[in-house]
Amino acid sequence: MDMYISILIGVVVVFAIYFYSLYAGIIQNKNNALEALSGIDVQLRKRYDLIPNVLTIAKKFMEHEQELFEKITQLRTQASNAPLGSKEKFQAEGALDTQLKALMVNVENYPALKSDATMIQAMQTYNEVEENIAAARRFYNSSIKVLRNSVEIFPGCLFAACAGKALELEFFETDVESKKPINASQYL
Amino acid sequence: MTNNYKDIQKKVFSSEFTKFCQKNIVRSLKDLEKKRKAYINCIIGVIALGIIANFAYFYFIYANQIPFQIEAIAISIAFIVLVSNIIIKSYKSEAKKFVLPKLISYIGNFKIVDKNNVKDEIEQYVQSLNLIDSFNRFYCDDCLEGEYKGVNLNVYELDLKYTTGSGKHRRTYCIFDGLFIKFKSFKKFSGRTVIKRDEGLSMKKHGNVVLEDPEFEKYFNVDGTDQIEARYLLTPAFMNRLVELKKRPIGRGITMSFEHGYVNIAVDSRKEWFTVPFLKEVCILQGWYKKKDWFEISISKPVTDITNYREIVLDLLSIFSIIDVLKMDQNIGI
Repeated sequence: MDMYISILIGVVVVFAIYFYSLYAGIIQNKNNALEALSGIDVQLRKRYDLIPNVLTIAKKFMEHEQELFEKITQLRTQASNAPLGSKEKFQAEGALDTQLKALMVNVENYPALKSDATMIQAMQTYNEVEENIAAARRFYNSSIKVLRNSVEIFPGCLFAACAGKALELEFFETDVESKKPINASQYL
Repeated sequence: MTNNYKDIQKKVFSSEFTKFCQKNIVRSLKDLEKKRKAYINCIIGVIALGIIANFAYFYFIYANQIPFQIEAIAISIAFIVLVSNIIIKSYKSEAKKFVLPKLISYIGNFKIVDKNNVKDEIEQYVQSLNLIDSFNRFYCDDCLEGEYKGVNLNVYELDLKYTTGSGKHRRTYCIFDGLFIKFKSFKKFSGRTVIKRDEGLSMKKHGNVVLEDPEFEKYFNVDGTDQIEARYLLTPAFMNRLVELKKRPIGRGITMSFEHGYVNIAVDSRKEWFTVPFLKEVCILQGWYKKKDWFEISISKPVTDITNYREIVLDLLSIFSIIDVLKMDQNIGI
């Protein structure tokens, strides 16, 4: 009898350890996803800080682009105020991304601005920041994938609730605008 | 392969290179050719001496005792191999001193650095990296410094070993034997990202950075102090290039790290005798491996033979191809 009880206790302990490690793994994945999300935010902050500087330099030379400047300013405010990880934030960021790219393309039409030392530096920093944002998004997507796998595959799905609101986080996808085919002739 | 690498490769097999060698190398190496012949005669002498000594041992001392005969053969073979090796090595190092500076001047703005001046500095630097496992014996052979397509390169030929115990329990393991390349990166980074080969010994991935490219993940493990920085450095395009490099002979034993503001590349030139994973590892660790000798001049070929020099230039080109394939010379952001 004692032996059966010992075996039963052993089996229970093994299961308890297994389920605890499963639970701990999900919590770890959830925290990784949140860390990745805040990583994007850190990089986006850099972009928000950079935008006013770029606009100040560009305004001196690009007097006819007021509409674009206003749009960028508005989208910057919208994106920075949107809650972290929300769909609105991702959408605003995507739109801001498109407008900033348009600004950088328009810079090409202003040779004086293009050769301005502060603008060159600002553009280099912009490229650096954009690359970091792209890297942060890749880390975020990878963390979300790991988290989703861990809570969607049995028996992880039994502990899905532990992941809480992190489960509502979406994969980052590029905006519709950037998926459209490019008409190269307008840049030539 | 980039066009540029192909162009240089064509150049090496062109008549222009032959003329260059004839004019700048072959003519000035008449004394070396004499020495080469003298070295070969020496080797023949050593072999003859070994054989004569063996015969003498057989017929005059232990004529009818089989175990002693085997012992005698083994001793004379060991003697011949040891002495011949010393002679060959001394010829090679002498020839290299003459030839290498002239050959690298053909490739570009490169110079040979005295290893005694930089040895300690390199040892400390390599020791501080997470790229190569810890070692306590450091050997440095050729040291080259120069510029290739605007990238300031340092190339060192290293042999790193780890010795444990003493006396009978002394064991020496080979940690690394190959080329170590160091250069500044266009991208700024403050953390550490190490890309090691996935040896396939364990089912579990060792690196803490898991990347999206399945082919890259098949070949490499990435460890980093910063997940975002690792992805900033290892863009999808860069991962593709690293996989492409891995498929080439020079990339077979490649590991890489972004540390201390430099890109550090270790090209292990040890080639295992076995392909079975466990045996392969054991043999390499024990030092039973085939080794590629970099920038070596063969004693069996006369100094007038251009193929000697062609191989050295191709060795150098294969190193430069790493820069070409990884596009490290271009600030393209990927």
